[in-house]
Amino acid sequence: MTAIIAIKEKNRIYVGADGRCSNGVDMFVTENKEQYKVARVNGSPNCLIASSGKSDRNDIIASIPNLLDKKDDVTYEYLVNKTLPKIYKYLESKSLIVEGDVLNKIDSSIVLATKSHLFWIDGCGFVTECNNAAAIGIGKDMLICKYTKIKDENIPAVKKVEECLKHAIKYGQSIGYPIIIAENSADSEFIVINE
Amino acid sequence: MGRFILNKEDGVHQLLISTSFESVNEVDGDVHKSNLPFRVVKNKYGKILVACDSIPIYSQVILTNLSLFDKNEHIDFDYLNNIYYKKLDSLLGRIPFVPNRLGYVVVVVAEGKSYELFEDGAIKESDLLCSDASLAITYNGNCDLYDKHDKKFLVKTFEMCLAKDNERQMPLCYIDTKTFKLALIKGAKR
Repeated sequence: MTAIIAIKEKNRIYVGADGRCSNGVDMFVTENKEQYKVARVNGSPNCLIASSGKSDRNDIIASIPNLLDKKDDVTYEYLVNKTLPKIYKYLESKSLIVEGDVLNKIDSSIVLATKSHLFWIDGCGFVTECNNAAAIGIGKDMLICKYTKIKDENIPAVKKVEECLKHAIKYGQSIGYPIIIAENSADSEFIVINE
Repeated sequence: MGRFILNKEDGVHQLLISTSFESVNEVDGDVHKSNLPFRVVKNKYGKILVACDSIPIYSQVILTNLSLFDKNEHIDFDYLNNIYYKKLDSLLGRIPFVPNRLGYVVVVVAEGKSYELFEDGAIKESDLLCSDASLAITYNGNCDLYDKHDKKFLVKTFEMCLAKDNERQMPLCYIDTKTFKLALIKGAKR
């Protein structure tokens, strides 16, 4: 189960995720950096990607070679017409597409933060560009609820991400520490917050 | 699928179209301009208003491929019928998420005329286009009661239908071909 939130303020985007993974009935904590639910996009280190759904899906999507064609910033148009078909094609080659009655699904929701754009891609491939925040995963409602309350407060965006995730962890049974927060800048380190 | 009304009064087209649930920012109820259900594109003969009523993954492809409207061609019935539809059909056929073809409607306003293009290639040219019969009936019923030039007339008609169909209210987008300015109507009541 997952809680992921991305907050965009003054052209900086912070993406935060909880650190608990579940695989059927098993639950484990991601301490391995390779298993974080937030990752830098292969070929575009200033861009971040995070996904909910199957625990291994984020690694796979983030590792797609040159997902954004080495760009740091892509437009909505580019994402819809170039990146999305690439994700779909790659996952199809790994037999990770779920066939539906009407629409095929990738069984994951994705948050993508580029240099100045924040996108949310739903499991059916619908892309939404977000003004200020996007949340996905089972803790989505709790994250949005907390963010709505603190969004106008005079605290840094990275702190808001932390506060939202702490709230989701407090009230969400299957969401847990450590909290991982990343910024859409290749120079920045991932922040890890333990209980 | 969204809902829309498009009319023409004194040579000005007015479009009122609903946004989809996915398009609306959950935090402030706003709609990012990338997620709007219509676009305005320019060519040699003026501005073209393109709106889409379809499942979102069709809409996003239709509205991000406006180069299908040739910059040097008259956008008229013949162009839509002979060129645009074929290009669009080919493009949508390549969307990987849709195993079975689904319906879509593209509304095009160009050179003073308005058209509704359906997924089977049928094209309707009319000064009044509505996404569904419920809106059309309510619109006609309201014609004698309100001033048709006023956007409030369209909003009122829309609200009556939403109330009747017990539909969730999303922000409505209004644009006319006189100013081409967007008005987002967030506070519409049931």
